[in-house]
Amino acid sequence: MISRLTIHCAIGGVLAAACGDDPATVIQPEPSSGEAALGGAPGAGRYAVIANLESSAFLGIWDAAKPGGYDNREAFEVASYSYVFARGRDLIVAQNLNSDEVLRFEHGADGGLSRGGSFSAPAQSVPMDVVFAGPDKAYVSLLFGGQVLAFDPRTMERRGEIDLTGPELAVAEPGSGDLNPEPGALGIRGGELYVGLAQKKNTILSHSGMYMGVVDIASDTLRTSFSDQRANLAQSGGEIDRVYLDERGDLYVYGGGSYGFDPEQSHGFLRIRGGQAEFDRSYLFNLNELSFDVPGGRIDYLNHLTYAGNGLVYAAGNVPSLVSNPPDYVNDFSFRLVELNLYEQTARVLPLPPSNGYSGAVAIEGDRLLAALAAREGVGIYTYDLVTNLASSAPVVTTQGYVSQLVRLNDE
Amino acid sequence: MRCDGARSRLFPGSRECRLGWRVACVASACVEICVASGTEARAQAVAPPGIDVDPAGRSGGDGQEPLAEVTVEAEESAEEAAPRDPLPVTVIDAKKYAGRATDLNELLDRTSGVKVRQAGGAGSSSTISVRGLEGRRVAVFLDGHPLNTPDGSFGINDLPLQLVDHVEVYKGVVPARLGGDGLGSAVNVVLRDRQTSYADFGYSYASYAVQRAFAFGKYVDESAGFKAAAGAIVNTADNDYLMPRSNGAAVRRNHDGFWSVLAGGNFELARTWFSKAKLELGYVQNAKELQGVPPVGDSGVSQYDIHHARTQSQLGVVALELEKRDAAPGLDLSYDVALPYFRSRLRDTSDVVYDFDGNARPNPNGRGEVGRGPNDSDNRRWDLLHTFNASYAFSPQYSLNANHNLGVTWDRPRDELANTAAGVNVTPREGSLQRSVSALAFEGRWLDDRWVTVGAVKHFYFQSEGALTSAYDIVTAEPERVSQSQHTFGGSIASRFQLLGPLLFKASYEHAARLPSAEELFGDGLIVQGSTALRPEVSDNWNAGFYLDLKGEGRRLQLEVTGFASQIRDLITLGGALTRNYANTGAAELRGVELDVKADATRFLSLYANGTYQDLRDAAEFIAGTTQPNYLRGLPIPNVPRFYSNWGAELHGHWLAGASVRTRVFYDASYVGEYFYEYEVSRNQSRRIPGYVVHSLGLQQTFDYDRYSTNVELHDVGDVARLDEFNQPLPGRSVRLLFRMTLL
Repeated sequence: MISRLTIHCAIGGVLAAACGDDPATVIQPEPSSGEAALGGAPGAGRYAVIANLESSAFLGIWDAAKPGGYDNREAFEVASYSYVFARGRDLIVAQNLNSDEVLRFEHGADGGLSRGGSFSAPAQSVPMDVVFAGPDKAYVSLLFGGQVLAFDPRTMERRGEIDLTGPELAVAEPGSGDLNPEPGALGIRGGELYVGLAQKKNTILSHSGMYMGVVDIASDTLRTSFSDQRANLAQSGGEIDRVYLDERGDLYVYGGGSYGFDPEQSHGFLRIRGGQAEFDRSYLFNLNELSFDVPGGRIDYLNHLTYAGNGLVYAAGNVPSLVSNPPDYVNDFSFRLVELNLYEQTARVLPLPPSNGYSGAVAIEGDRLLAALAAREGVGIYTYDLVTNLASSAPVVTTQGYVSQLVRLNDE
Repeated sequence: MRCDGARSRLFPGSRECRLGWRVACVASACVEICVASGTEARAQAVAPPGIDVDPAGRSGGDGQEPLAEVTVEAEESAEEAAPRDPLPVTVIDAKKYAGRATDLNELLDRTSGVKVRQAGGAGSSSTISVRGLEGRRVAVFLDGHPLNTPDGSFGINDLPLQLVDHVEVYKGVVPARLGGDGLGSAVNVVLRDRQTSYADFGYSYASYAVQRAFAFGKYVDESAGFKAAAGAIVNTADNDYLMPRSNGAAVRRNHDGFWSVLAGGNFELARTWFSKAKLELGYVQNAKELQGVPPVGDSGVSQYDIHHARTQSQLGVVALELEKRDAAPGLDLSYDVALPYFRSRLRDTSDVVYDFDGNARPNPNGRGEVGRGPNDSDNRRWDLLHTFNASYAFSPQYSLNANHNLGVTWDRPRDELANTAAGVNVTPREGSLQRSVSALAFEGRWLDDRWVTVGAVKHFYFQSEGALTSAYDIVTAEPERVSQSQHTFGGSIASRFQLLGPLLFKASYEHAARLPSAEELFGDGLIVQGSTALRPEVSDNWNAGFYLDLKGEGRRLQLEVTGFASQIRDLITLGGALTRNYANTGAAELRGVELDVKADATRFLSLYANGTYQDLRDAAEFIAGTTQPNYLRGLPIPNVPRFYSNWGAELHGHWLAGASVRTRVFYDASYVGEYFYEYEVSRNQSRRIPGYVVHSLGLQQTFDYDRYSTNVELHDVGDVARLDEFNQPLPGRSVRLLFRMTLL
């Protein structure tokens, strides 16, 4: 059988670079088979899924061990492109651009989902990233609210707020009157909360630089802030930049660099060494300077980053050479799944089909990567075997809606 | 003989003469014709040529008594004639409601197949939905001119009913003479053009400080062959009604004030080479505060409690209307040209924001309560609209109609404050748009007019020029100027057949097209990117139905039932996430049925009811851009009501003080079934637009043969909490008063 990917390679089209030297083997199951390309069920765990339809999204539970497609019959309606975060049986949903209500759900041992409490963030504040400091304390960043809120994820009671407004933290565009940064990506190390502080010019573009605030978790007060001009935080309502804590105790911060719309800005990672409250001057993983095995060789920003441990990050990278001008968000399959090694500062493109921007969530289950893609071959969950390099070229599970979040659940 | 010099007493709306009096020459005598309904009239010969009749009309001013009574065939009103039009059209006779404290949106909303989606109270933006399709898919015309205002800053609801003759609602086929594009539905508001001198004054007051005052006048000099008319309307509103909150409490709207002034006039000459030459001038200005809405439900979109942001708009228009009847035997010509100028502004610069608990805080985004930054826009638009129509009757059976409609628009948006604050251009670029619709229609009448067929072909041409923001660099790259043109064809055929005397059968088909708009093609400069590859939306629409008209002594029953179906392709939808653009991704199938019943049960009691079932479903075969079957195929398109109905009754009579004093008591009700904001895919679906039943009561009392009219109405008697769209609360119970005086 000849797959679409194979056809692209044969005609020497836009995917030629992706087909040429990739050592991975691509297998081609029937696109509509709905079976795991790599044999058996796609996985064994349960996942929280955000599936987006027309004007809303739906939060549901997907049991990777059960065959068949995924639908939203038992799911709960939430705002489009919400973010979901899990700790034990608690699920916290930050509804991003489309609602200021922060929601709690609980998943049961039977795989069911039930609605919990909620609290309201300030109007138009855009609740975004959530981290858990403990069983009774979590934080949510409010991108356009200039705050990080502390709350109890069990009761959804607000426990405090960290005010990040003020000119001392801001880089403002003249005339905007904007006197505060936009807090987005969160990370916890020890007793400190690290807050990515974007300096937005508008909803798309940011001022150059990567700015971080450090909050003392015990007192919920801002302890210090620092910045570095070698990388650039982006952070819009569309996607969170990320802060990851590795096994060595170092923090890695990804900045999206105005999503490729500003050619002066690069995207990539900076590091904050353990015990330090500043960026490591010896480390810069500049992804603009990296050559990817894609048409044009460039990826200009990452979406849906997932840290897999040992310095490996998986993400969907936008290939500008695959973007039309003007863009065609339906037919521009410009996102390729990539594996980034933060330590080696290397990257490789995974042999999964390219996706458009409507989907693109990644989860790791053992040796298998699960990727929610909106590819020409179908919308659903694709698999990639990290050991054998085998990838499915059609969805192993079709999904009702574009999956933007795929979060592994623990029963603990 | 001529009757131009005769004057009638003209008591429009009186019980026997609900459609007014006319002076005409009948059987070699001048007669006053009392038009009691669309097809019946009584006449009395009263005034020999050149002799005035006492305007009060109780008796002839010169002592003359009526000479004789004759029966004549009266010209039908547009509403009466509509069922026999081969096209699927519903006509609302606005004159019937001129004495009532209601408005055009409410009348349209009580029409089968139509819902008016409103964002709030008086002065708020609204869109007309016909059989589930709305926005640019429904063409809106004012006296045949496409209504093409930027930002929705002016709408037909700005017009008081007293200025409107009737409203034509085309459902499935749009007549060729209107031009314009759309998916087969159109609303044409026809302004009133009385042929006599008159003055009309009125004032209305309603709950939430909704006020309207109007004064119109017209002078007709038949001997000199000219007419001049002028009028002005002032609207104001506080719209301070309560809105629900998620916590069960309510909050009062506090920043939804609105005012508008409309003024205009026209001058018409009847005795030039043209049968009619009319010059019109119009001016509109309005200002509106913007109201924030608290979220309802735990996924509700949140806004600030806006305290400062507001819009202002101005519109000026000059129009020339020329008609030449019988330019050659059987040939009628008309030419209209209009030059509207629009200016709209949004000022949103507050550095303080407020929540719905009354707390104020520094604006975390700097300035602006509506978006993510400040605005101080000054957008200007110039339009040139022209319509040429030639109608030629080959014979009493056959006629041809050729029509050309051209609209040229130049847009010049400005918002330096927004651009400076955002660091890049965030406003649309200057551009122009040219739309041309050419149509040729044929009408044939056979079997002694029992069978009438109208066919038309249309050619749509579209050319636009704008600027595209680069998809790769929006900081340093200059936007690329692009020009684009498209054309496509449409066509329709409609037939009406008289099966039996009172029973008609109608059927029609149209292949319709809607051309992409400039905003869809070129975006807004930042968030919405351009989409120059867009194709026109197209639809194939079918209608078939029966109309029954049974008349008895003082009684009448009219029943119309219509089935309809449409297949719609290449629907243009807005997609994307980080930035967005439009794409031809959708397809839909529409099935439905409408039922309209009107009855004059007695001479004193009229009843009406209508119901619409519309089933609009996703019909896209594949998920957009993929080869995967569409998982939403067959599901109802969200945010579209599926069933709605209206019913009401009116008691009318001369119960208080004789024939000159008339009383009307009326009752209206509307029902809309619950519908979903999103595709219905979950058992736990929470975003619903709740259904409702709304009842309204009213009493109208007129004096001196309708010269003076008072009206009191209680709308939404049950104070039902209604949301339109999603999360847009509408006013609840309201009391309305209207006083009106008409001098003839």
